[in-house]
Amino acid sequence: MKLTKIAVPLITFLPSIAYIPILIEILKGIHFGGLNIILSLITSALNPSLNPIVLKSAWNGLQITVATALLSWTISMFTGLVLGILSSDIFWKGYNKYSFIGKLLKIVLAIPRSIHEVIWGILFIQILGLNIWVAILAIVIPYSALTARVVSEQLDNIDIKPLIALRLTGAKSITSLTAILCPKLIPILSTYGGYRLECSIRSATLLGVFGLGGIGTELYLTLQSLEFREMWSCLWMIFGVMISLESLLNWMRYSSNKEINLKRYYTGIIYTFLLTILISLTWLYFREVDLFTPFNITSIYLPTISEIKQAYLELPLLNLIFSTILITFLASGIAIGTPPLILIYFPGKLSRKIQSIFWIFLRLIPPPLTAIVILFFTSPNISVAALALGITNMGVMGRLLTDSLYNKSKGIYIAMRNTGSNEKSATLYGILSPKTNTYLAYASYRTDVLLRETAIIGAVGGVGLGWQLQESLSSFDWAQVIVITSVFALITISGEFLCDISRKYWLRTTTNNSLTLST
Amino acid sequence: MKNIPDSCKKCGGPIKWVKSSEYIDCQYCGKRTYLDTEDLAKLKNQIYNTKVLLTSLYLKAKGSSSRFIKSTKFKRNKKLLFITPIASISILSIFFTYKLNNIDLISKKERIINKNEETLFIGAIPDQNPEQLNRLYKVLASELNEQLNVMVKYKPVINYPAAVTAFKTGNLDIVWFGGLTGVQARLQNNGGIVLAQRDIDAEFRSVFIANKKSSINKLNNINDLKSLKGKRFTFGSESSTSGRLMPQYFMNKAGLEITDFKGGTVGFSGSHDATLALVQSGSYDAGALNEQVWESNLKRGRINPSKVYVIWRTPTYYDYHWLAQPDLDKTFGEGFTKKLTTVFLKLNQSSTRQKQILKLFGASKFITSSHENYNEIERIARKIGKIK
Amino acid sequence: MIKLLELVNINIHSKEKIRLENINLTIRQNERIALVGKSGSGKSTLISIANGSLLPTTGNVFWKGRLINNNSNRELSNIGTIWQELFLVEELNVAQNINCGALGKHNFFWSLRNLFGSIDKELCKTCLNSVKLPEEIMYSQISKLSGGQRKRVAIARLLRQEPEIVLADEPFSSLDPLLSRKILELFINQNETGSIRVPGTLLISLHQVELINCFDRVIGLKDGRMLIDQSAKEITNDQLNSLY
Repeated sequence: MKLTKIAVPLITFLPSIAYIPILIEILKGIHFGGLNIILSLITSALNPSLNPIVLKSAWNGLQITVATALLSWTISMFTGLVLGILSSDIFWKGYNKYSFIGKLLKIVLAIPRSIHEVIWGILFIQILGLNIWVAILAIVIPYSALTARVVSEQLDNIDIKPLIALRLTGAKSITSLTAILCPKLIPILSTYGGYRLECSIRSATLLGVFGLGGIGTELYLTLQSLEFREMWSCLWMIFGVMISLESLLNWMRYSSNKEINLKRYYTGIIYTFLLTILISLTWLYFREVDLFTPFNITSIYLPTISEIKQAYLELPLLNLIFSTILITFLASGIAIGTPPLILIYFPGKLSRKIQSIFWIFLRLIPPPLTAIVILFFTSPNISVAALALGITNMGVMGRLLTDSLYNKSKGIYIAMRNTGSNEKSATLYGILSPKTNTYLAYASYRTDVLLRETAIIGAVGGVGLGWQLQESLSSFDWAQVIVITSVFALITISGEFLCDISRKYWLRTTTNNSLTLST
Repeated sequence: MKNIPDSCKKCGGPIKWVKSSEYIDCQYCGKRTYLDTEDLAKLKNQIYNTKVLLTSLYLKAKGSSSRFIKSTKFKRNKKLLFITPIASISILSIFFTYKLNNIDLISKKERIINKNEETLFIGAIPDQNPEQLNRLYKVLASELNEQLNVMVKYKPVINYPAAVTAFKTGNLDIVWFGGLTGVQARLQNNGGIVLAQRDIDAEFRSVFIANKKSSINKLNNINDLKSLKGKRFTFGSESSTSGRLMPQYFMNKAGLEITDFKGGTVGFSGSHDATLALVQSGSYDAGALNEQVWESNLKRGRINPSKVYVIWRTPTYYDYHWLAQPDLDKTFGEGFTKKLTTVFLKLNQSSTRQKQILKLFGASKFITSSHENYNEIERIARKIGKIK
Repeated sequence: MIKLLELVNINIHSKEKIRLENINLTIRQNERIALVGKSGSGKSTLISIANGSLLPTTGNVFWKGRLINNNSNRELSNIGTIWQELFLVEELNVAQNINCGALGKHNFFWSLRNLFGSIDKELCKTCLNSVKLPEEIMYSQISKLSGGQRKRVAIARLLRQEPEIVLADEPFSSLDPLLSRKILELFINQNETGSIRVPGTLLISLHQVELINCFDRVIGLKDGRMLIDQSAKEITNDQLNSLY
């Protein structure tokens, strides 16, 4: 008897097996001593502080964060687009002599990509001093590299036959490339761009948590002093911004779905870019942010090779690497496995709307804060870090499943319902199954990101490379910092490589071109 | 007028009405349908009319907007619609380039010596309620402004390494540092001048606290710290003098290493309040925090004595102080550093603003300090590895 | 004979055009109706209305005397549809897709089990035999099949559902004439193939005019209006041509 391969949609649930070790550890260490703190945390949600001083400074911080996010997003989209085109194989097909530039660029771009924006921020503070441009640079550098990667991958996946056909009619390389590539960039830009904007707001908030100003700072400080009511005022404000952003993006995508007028689209893009840059600069200026302080570039003390070698021997690197990878797997397990489960068990249109709001809420709380909250009812453990990271990223993955745009084609769902099946089965077959491939592709991207994000979980102490990096930074031990950062970069790059291979495997098993469902 | 439905609402089957009955049961599904009385019918009518009115208004508005877009007036003015954003973009960009051209983008440490236009940058990380200082810093800035006659600007910093770096790069002129971070800052590039400390900072202490369930007894002397072996322990922030450096020093003196704790590591809660909350909740068996925070939380009633208690008070050491750039006199004029110190020393409860400042820093007054006070801290830090 | 499906005064408007106008149709048990008409005349819309997935602007659809949307899931599983777009699940194999037809008769955990491997293999094999597909195809993925094979899998899915009425939207469009005739005979002669009960009431839309003599009634649509409603024996070629 032939062994049937396990059906692909089930693989979307399978990662939630990670819940088992996590829950075991957490239940082992659970205690109810922190119950009243958790209770006061939850009750303050409904009773946020309305103190005008608090609200005013939170509102101020929010504007700074959003303006920073807008500015860095615009710049990084633009540079990412350019770099992505330059690093794609298809661009260099016309100039075969120079195709090594594309490949080289791809490899080089892996390095800024592998370092989390918070680390960039902390490093840049050391070099450039306390400056808003530090935050902007810290977001722009990794984001451009990420966008470049997505753009180049999408471009490399398109059908090359029209390009060859065009070349054969005698058109020059650059003309035929423009004709073929430009229309393909539209779906990429619109969906991925919207996603990146939300990510940049989250990153700007996170950078604030680490000291670069904005509402993240407020959030972190109020949590440290356990002023939960004030913390919730900040959280509700961020929540409001995220929901409005989400609806704005949905509205824009919905209204642009009718017909794509290339000319209007491109003029629209150029306007948006320029306008956003100028609006955010003006905004920051009026928020009394010092835009024009000169960079104080001081010489950093560069450690010698022997110091680096010593640092390398000092640090328990193998241990740290192992715990980092463990956290990544556990966190990505719950992040990937939970949204499909919830989608199936709570079917229905209204339930999906509620789910999407729930995912927005989970997304906006920065992982360090979740970690501290979890610490209050269980003892410190790797599982705490994994759970905190997993919860935030669960929100990101859940968005993909409940995004209404991707739910346009409900044909299979209707067909299943018409055979009389209940809502759960129909959702399983009709809504989850067609999205499996995109979901799993996204899941591998997310695991990459999670690996980088382990850098910011420090509250649990002594777990993972990220924690050690913060410790070394606070001791100003540059040799250790260099060693840890390079190790981090190495792991991330190899992790990316592995995820790439697994992604190619998934996309190979179906004929569905991933472009149709766009990333 | 009565409204007589002729089909059942639930199953859609036809209903045969018996004369003069108020209700009828459907013969297919059994649902009872009631005859509408006059008032109910009127209400339903009104609701329906409002709905129709609103829908027609909406359609009218929609129609008129689309009619506007299709009208010739708009088409003629379309050009304006495109010119306006271009014009505004160009004007804004000219404005910004003008601003940028007047600044040197990169400048070295040399300052322009122009006394009356210099700004004094201050930064602070208080160990308690930093979020309040984050909101009320203008109070401090305006007080200094008034007393010193210079532009004072407060730059928010929220973590210790950032503050030290900002001091090193010259972004901040005077900073309120803890013992360890002050030493780190002075050692970075140029040194610094110690201005003042609070009265409590001359004899600062940490306390070790424990959770009742951990069954750790009160310690009699430093060597009893060994009883913490194998327990879950947390510090405050990694760069905190009272929350990490000194406690770790005393532990090491008693022969207790970090690897002796449960899991071979310690936790870092990030702040004194958080340490207190975590130990009180039981997530950690024991922790170390600064005594002043413990006292003030006791006063605020946030401590439950049945859950958490002090097991040991450390010996005293010097902690927080104001640190200034060594070249302030060059930039702001002779004797400026001394004037600045006097301002701090003279802060008292007289005016509301000064009272607020003292409250923000948790002090009753400021006294002098000097850099020798921190030599021991420097020694300890080098031993532990926080200073290389 | 029982009135199975009744369409009363169906009208569907959209902003641009009228898709269906004033359709009245009654389908009794064991009645076989052929639906003919030009492309775009509303045949697919009519079928979507008939199975309850599309709501008309005015008018009602009754299934066994009740409004169709008020039926329970069990009742709904007695209406079988073959869609023009097929709506097969690409990621699963043929056997799992055939089992999808039986989703209405089982609970959620059965559908989960279906994902793990193929259940009810015998029933699937019977269905595959009825549509003249080889048994080996049971484990291949849908995405690897040709258009005609997919159509037959969709028909097999319908057979597995064992409904009382079949609403089919151009089921024979990718099949060769001999195969179309064989499958149509399956429905008309209602041979009990193994344990599968084949339904006898049909509403099938098709373009192949030569198959019309197998049906009882012919309904012709043009521009959303019902032009012809006659028994198949009395239909003339002129009438058919007036539709196109």
